[in-house]
Amino acid sequence: MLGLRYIQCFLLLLCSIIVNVHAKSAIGSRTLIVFDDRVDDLSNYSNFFNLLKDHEFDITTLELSDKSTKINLFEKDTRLYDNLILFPVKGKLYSKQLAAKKLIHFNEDGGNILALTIPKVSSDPIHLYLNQLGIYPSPRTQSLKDLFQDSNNNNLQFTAKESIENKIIYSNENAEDSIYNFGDSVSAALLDNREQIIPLLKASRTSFTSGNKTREINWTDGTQGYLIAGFQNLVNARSLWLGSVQFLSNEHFKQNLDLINDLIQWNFQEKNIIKVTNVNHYHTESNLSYDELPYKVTDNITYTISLSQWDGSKWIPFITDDLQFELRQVDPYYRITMKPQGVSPIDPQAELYSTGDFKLPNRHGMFTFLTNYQRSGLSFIHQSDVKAIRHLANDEYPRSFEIPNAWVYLASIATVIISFIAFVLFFIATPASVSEGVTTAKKTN
Amino acid sequence: MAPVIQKKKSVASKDDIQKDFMEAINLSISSYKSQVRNNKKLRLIDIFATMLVVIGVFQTAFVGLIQDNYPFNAFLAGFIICVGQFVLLMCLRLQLTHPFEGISKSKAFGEFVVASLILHFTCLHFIN
Amino acid sequence: MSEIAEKIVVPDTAVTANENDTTTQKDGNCVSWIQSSLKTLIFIAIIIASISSRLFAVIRFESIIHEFDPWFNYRATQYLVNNSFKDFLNWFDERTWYPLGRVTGGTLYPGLMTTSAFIWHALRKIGLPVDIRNICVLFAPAFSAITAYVTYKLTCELKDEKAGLLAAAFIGIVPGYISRSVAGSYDNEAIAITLLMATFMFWIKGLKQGSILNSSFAALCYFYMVSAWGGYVFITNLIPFHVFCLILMGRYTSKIYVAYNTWFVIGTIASMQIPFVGFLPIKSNDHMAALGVFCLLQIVALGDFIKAKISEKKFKVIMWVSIILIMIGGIAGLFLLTYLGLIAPWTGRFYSLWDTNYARIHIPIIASVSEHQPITWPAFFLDTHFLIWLFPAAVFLMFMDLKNEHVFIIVYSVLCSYFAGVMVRLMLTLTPVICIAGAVALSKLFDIYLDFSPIFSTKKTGTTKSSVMTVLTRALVSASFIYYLYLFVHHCTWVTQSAYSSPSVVLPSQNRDGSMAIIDDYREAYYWLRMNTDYDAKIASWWDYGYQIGGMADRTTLVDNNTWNNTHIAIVGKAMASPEEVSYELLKEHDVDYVLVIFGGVLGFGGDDINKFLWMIRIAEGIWPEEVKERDFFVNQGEFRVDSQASQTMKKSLMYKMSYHGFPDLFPNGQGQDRVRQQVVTAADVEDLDYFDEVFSSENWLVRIYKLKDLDIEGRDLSDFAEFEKSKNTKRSSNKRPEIDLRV
Repeated sequence: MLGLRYIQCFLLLLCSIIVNVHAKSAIGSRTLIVFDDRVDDLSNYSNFFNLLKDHEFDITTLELSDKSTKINLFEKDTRLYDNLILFPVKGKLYSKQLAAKKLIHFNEDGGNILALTIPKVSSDPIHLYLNQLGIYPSPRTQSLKDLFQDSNNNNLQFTAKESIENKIIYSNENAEDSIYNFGDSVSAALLDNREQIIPLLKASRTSFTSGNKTREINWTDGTQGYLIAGFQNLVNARSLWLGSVQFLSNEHFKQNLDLINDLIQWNFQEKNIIKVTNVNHYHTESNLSYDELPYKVTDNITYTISLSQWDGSKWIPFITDDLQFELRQVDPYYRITMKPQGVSPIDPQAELYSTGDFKLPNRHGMFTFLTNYQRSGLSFIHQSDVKAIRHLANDEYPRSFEIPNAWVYLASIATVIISFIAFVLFFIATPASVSEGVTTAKKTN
Repeated sequence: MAPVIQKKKSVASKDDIQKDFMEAINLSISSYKSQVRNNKKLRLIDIFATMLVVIGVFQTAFVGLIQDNYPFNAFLAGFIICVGQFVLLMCLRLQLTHPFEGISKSKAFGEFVVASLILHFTCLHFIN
Repeated sequence: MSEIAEKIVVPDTAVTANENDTTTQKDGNCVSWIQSSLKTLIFIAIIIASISSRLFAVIRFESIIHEFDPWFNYRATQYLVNNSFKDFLNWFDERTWYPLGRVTGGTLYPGLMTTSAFIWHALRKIGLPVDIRNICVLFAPAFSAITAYVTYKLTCELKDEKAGLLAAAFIGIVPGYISRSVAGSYDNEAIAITLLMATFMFWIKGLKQGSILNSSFAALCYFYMVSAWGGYVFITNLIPFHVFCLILMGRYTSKIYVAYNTWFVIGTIASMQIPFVGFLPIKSNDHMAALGVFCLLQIVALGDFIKAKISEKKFKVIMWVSIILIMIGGIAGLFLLTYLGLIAPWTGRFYSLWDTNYARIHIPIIASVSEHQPITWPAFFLDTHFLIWLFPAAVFLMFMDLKNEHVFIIVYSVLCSYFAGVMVRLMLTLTPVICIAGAVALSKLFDIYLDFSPIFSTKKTGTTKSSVMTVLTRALVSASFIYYLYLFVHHCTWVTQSAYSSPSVVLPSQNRDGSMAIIDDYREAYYWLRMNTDYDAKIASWWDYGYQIGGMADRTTLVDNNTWNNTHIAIVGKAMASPEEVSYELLKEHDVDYVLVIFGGVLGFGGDDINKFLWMIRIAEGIWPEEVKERDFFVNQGEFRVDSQASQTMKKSLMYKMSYHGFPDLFPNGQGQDRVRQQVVTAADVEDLDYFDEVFSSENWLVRIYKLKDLDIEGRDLSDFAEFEKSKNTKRSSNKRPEIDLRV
């Protein structure tokens, strides 16, 4: 009886693992949540934390109202956490511990950050950090309003159809009618046009941010403002900014669940992760690589690249139709869209792409074989390989006897030489003439 | 001995010039004929030289005809070997008709052969 | 050192002694063996002198390759030794001119490398494995010895053996030639002058005898010369010009016909075998003179033949008519061919020979090379000493005794004097003819004044006043000229050791106590590069240092001393002249990792990059007149300043920032004293570098190396990044709306 219980328990555990197994980060699950009790009670977000737990995140929480708390993102040079969730915090004291530079360092080292701001609290480090990324949330005095919306509870709501910007991260395509609730305290942000910024949800056309004072300029007007923005840096670490805390609260959790789930998965690198598993280029005819036989002008070359994508539990082939190869020497000489060739023969988890056969330009020099695939939402792929393409060697031009035109000249040279030999022979055979003086005598020298 | 430096004295009429030319050519040809008639070696040289001219002209005509000098090095090799051999022959001929002091006829011929061989080698190398 | 100086004195006294012998013992047959053995002795002395005087560089510094171009030649030779000859011919060098690469095998003159590789192999065959570097270092002195012998032969053809020996001694130690052939100066000129002399020697011989064989040898030497030096064009024009002059002087003979035609035909086809020369001999205008004279000779030969047959008066008429017809036809043909593009127009370097301002206006890159500047008067004296005033006298003597070969020397001297006046580099070709002419003049002088035989004859009959006077004047003149010779030797030794023996890779300097110190910043920096950077790292520097970086640091360069691509050089010029952010983009586009600048402000070294900066600006302006403007770099008074009055563009430019980065901090109160430009640079003048990191500055700050910062991971501009890094942690976030380009 007891044994059965155990088995039952075990099965249950197994089931839960299996259920949750699809939701796992590609890099790691150590997560630190920083919050401030004075701003909000963490129990309001229990559903959100349960969701994180479902995703198998290993959560540490740190409460900042106690002044003695120390925040260590790094132990010596090793990063202690993979993900960092920053609820709004108050007070100057923490500016030092949670300084923007530390956050940047954490992010540049590969850690993901989820940052939340609200109009009520000005969290300087978070603001400064976001400003460095090119995200400028509205300041403490201003909050987002929309006078056209149902104003009985002051909650701001946005429909997916109008506001969702990025279709790669947002997976629930069918639910275009879903409405997301951001609560009544929302900050909107201006974004600069850096390519790493991924605008995710924009404010409605009728919204604006304004403060209490009348003379203040509106921070955003209409769709200028954004409520959610992602940022992926060059080492593919992801940051996400949310302009509302209530968006995650238990109150609106159910309404926002599908979007929250997408955001968490993207932010903490559970999805939209692609990587290059193998790059190769070789002579098309002989399959010889560059090292075996260096390239020369007008050679026929094939370039292949294999891409995998993380599906939450394992690497699977990544399929797309807009992957481009470039052959550059400062300027691009070729830009070829590569075609998926099916699963890579070497690596079953990757999809093989090939340019097919192409001819190197008739120009020698150092060329870069480049795949630069940067789609906002997906990991950036930048794969480059610089190789020399040499000129034709002196014996690689067609020989004269291979060119019909040259036969004429060859023949004439042969004639000249043969007749020269004949001439020499005859010359020696001919006796010197007797009467030479006749002609020379006339000349006066 | 210094014809180039001398001043132009009178402007001859057109007919005169023509006449002079004809006379000069006739004279030259006749003296040339007598020169050749008496010397078999000279005749041999001249036959060879004529042949070279023919080959050279033929190649140029060929290039003009096909309007394309594509294997340019081959053409050059073919053409220059003709010109070069012709010029060397002329040198030999001059040395045979009026030997320079210090160089006997047989020595001249030897030198001629050496120079020709150098020429042939480079031309063959050029056409590869 | 003094030992060597003494050794150099030896040949000259020996020569004069020999002249004593040869002149006094004209009739004695029994002493001919003494003559020949003395001659051998003199030659050995000359060879020792010419080699040892070139070894100052090795003794004072070390066995090292000098300057810039030799480093490339050395690198190419190493490549040739390590690979096959075929690989060498087809060498594609991907480590220079990034990213274009250079078809090195097809764009160099292989004569020098092939010769030294041949010597290397030959020495190995006989069991003497010598390091290729030593062969390269000692190559030039060895060939200068051969030059001395060839010059002797050439001068013998002109006058006699006495003059020959003098000429050999002169050419052995004359500074004008030593300047390009000291040990370690492993340059094309080292072998080219030898070949130049050899070609002329055979040419004169061939011309004198009308020998096909000698002319063929001249052609082969010419071919060798073509394979070794771009200056072969000089021969290509000089010999036809000589022939042309002879024809104009009415000196046409069959010998000229034989010699010239043989040389031209074999020489032309042979020179086309060199890949770099290719079809130039029949396409470029530089070579047209030779072709023209060739055709002219055929006509003249025909004319000569006809002239012998008909009366002179009629011939004149015929001649004039034909000449006019041919001239018209020829000029029209030349224009037509040039117009149709079949013949390449004259090259820029050629134009600059005629109009010294041409280069400055049209081709800054040619003008920027110091070798292409017009020569200064003192340089003539410095390089040739008393020979320079013997030279006109000798030319006059040549006119007195005008044979064909004398015409050649006259033509050579006149042409070369002009060219040397235009370009410093061509001093090198002038020097041999000065030596030869000087030797001829001097030996003529000695023939008369060193002949003391009258003393003996007059002694028997009793001394008269006149004979004493004769002896006295003779003794006086001879003594003064022997004294001049002594001075000459002294001068040569001094110039050689003080002016021409510096490898320019290491710089000599004096300590406070007067002892000699060596500034070795270049090598320090190049070895730093070699040891601390990635093998594939790309280094951007001004082109002067390209060969050295390639040779010593073994790193990829953007531009080097083979200035074949003006645009590419302009890119580096633009990067140096632009503000940081523009340069950064440009350099990043070309995958540059490090930037190297030469800064002499600390040391007082005048040949640094700031002084070359104007050329960089000019070259860049030639390509991007909108973006780089020379005027912006001057202050209002039209001055080029680097202190606080410098123009804003100047202060913002990358070159300025890199040169003076941290410089004022070396001095008390931040008052940096630039010892080259004698101006004060303060800390306020030098702005921070945001896009570059200083990674290395050599001991005396002569070489400074900067690394391009990586792109910011968060995608910020590096200037914003630097600003953020400087800010304090406690900074409050701003409530001001940011001025940004908004998303659309």
